[in-house]
Amino acid sequence: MDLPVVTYEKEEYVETASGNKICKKNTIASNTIFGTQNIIISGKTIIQKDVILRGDLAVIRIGRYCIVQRGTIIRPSLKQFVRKPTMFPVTIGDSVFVEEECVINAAYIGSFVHVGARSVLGRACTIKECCRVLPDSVVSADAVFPPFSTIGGNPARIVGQEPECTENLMVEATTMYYDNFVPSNLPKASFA
Amino acid sequence: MTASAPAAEGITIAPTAIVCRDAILEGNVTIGDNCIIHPLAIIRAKSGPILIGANNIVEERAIIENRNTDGKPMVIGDGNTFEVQSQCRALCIGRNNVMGVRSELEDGCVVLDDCTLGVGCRVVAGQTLDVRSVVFGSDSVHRIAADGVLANTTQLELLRVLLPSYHYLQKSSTGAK
Repeated sequence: MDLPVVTYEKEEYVETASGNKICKKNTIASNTIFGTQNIIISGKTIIQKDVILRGDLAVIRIGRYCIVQRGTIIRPSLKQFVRKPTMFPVTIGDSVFVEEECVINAAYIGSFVHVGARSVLGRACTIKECCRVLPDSVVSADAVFPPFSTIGGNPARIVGQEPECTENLMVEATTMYYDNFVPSNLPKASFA
Repeated sequence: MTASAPAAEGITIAPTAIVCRDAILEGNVTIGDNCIIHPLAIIRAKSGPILIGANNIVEERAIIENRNTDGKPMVIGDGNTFEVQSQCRALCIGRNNVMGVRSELEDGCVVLDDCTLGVGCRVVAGQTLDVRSVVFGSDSVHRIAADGVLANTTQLELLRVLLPSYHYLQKSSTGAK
């Protein structure tokens, strides 16, 4: 399967030395990425428009070749221990695809996970490698899902299994998305 | 980041409240003691004032909007939590309620005390939520809980330390310094 070419306005995005493409021009506010000193993005990751990253609350780690689409909110969650409350850091693995308008309060998302549009991942939940969260799912707080599960519903349950080749599929999909995410005013490559 | 910017006209913020500058406040809004308003929260007093009590938390992309047709104030009590992307157009809200992620309180709702709204739940226009109501699931089923909601005091304490070190704050233009 070939993904279509997605174009973006060159002046809206910032490309870092490690190949991250991060949108700096948002419609809701001038800046939606908070606490930049606590956000670690490994490289080749795309952060699209209106994505809110709450690095001010706790550390957010995002791996390589992650795609975070428009309007998603990634925010560390609060965990109440016996005495003192703690903000849980968010860890997201490599080649993770997060679609539009998600709310991610998860503590851990493994590599090669696909999160469908408008899903809500509840407080401090853990999603292991190679999972797929169906669109409009609501993952309850503190839930833990094993690798290769298809997760869906409200509250979310395991509704199926992902194929063994999920890793390859996700790596291919995210790298292709990254390669096809090009500025609109770039001259087309000629294949002559 | 301790510098503070004066808020717009008509907005009264208690000196102990923490209101991030990236929060959007419009119209006649009063924010009580120890409230925490996260960045990108939206509080719009369109057709009447909004009075927010003490110890409330309003998270990012939450919308609190007064759309009462007769210009009545929207009164929000103490200790409520409005989570990410929740929408509140209620008439009045009591104490210690939790409005979950993406929940929606439509025009003219009344929420009493210790209520919990689950993710994406919806309370239709004009409905009243009784004390200790819980709304949950994809069909917004109602039930009365045996226990009240845990107070949000620990969360408040933590945010009180965290937020001022990363955000510019809004201070009241008319209220005491």
